[in-house]
Amino acid sequence: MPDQSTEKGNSRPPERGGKKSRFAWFQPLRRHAIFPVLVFIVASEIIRENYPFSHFPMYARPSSGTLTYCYVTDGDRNPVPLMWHTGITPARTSKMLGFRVQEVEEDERRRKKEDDGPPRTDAQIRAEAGAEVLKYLRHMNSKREKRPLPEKIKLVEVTVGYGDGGFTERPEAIAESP
Amino acid sequence: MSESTTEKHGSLWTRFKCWFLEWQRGWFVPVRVSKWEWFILRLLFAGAVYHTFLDWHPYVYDSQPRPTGIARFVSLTFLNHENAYETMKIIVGITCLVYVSGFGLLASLPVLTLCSTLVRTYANSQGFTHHGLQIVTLTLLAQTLVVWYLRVWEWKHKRKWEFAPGISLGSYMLYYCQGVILATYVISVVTKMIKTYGLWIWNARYICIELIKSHRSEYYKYLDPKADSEVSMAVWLLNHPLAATALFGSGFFLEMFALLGLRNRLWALGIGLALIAMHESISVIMRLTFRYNEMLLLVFLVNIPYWCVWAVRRAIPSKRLQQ
Repeated sequence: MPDQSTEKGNSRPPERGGKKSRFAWFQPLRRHAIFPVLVFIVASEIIRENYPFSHFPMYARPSSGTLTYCYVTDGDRNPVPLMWHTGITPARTSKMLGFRVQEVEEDERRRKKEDDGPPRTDAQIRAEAGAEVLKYLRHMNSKREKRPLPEKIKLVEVTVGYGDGGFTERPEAIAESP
Repeated sequence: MSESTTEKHGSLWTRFKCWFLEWQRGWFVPVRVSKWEWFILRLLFAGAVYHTFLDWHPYVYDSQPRPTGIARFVSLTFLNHENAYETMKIIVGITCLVYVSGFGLLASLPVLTLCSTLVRTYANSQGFTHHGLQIVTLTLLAQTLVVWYLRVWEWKHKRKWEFAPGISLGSYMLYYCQGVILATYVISVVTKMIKTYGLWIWNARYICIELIKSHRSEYYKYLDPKADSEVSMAVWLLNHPLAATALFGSGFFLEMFALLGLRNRLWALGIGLALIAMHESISVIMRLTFRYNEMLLLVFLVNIPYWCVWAVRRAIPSKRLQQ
């Protein structure tokens, strides 16, 4: 907000010695109406993902590497309409899986430090994280009595990559419940 | 300009700086906003805010497995209570009416901001972050900070804040609503530059692979046959990297210079329409919708009511002028 203390006779004292400070440009900017907006931009980059603040990292790091997405199938590998059964979208399921994998990997690092049992492979880490995600999806489905999930469900992770002038999609069932 | 600066930056920089300072002089400040316009803006914004509270999904979650924001300090599981959804709708409905009336903004705005923050924080504490509603809460927060800043200033200086001639509270509210909306786009650009060390434009051609992900995710929601198709656009973009860079790069530069929308009403209109067009193209290409972003751009930047009245006033000469 503009600074009212400088209006109506409240003038600032002249600079000492007639020399301009290195940061003389900052004072007019600080008094400008746009200054709080600029502060907000900087603050959001520092605060990051703490609602309502965000640094909006969507599509911030495009790369030539692979991507993954998830979906859920029944025991016969037929896909199930996830949103209809659980209220959770496949996109959110993928994000959840990503967070769970991070948590399991952190736990694995802690176990390695403490020498607490044999190390888990990547596949085992993903299976453990996937099992947690399926447990959550079953829990959300329990609130939808008229839309039960199949008895057996599998979490399928698809790796999308580049190939043959187009894209390749490689599905892999990483966890199942029960 | 000191000699050392001229030597350091050369005349091109000096010329650009002089041009920019002249170009922005007197602009990028709050504009005159009449009472009727400010009322319509409040009405439309209150409608958008209330609409966000019609979403019952956050109230279904019974825990916060990955707390974020204030959920780190306070458990928000009370929102899972069976009456929480209806109670919140009533509270927000009444508060929206108070807000639209223009009275009690010191109370109504913080209440709306808090309610919006609580519900969406809880939704974002489930292990998946959704970015579609920050803009609404941030706009509420901006308005809250404006009214409270003025109030605290008046309390501290023991006198009323004196607006410049023609400027009112509505002027500041519109300015900072526009500011925070446009700033969200600049933030995304800053993040892109940080994460790619400035090479985002160069890597933009790889966004085409994201189209596959978003299309497939859309299909597996409901297994809608209409959503199950070859993503030919993604393949085309992959095989035409220059076109992909131009397409995504244009959006990048639009976001980077979004704050130009604060220059004056005409720039706000242009930037607002351009950003809405960008969102519509994202919706078609990537099947991602940002309804509330488009809504708030329409309300605060495009500002159709203002331009309708402006057009009518231009078309119908004033009786005073005729006399």
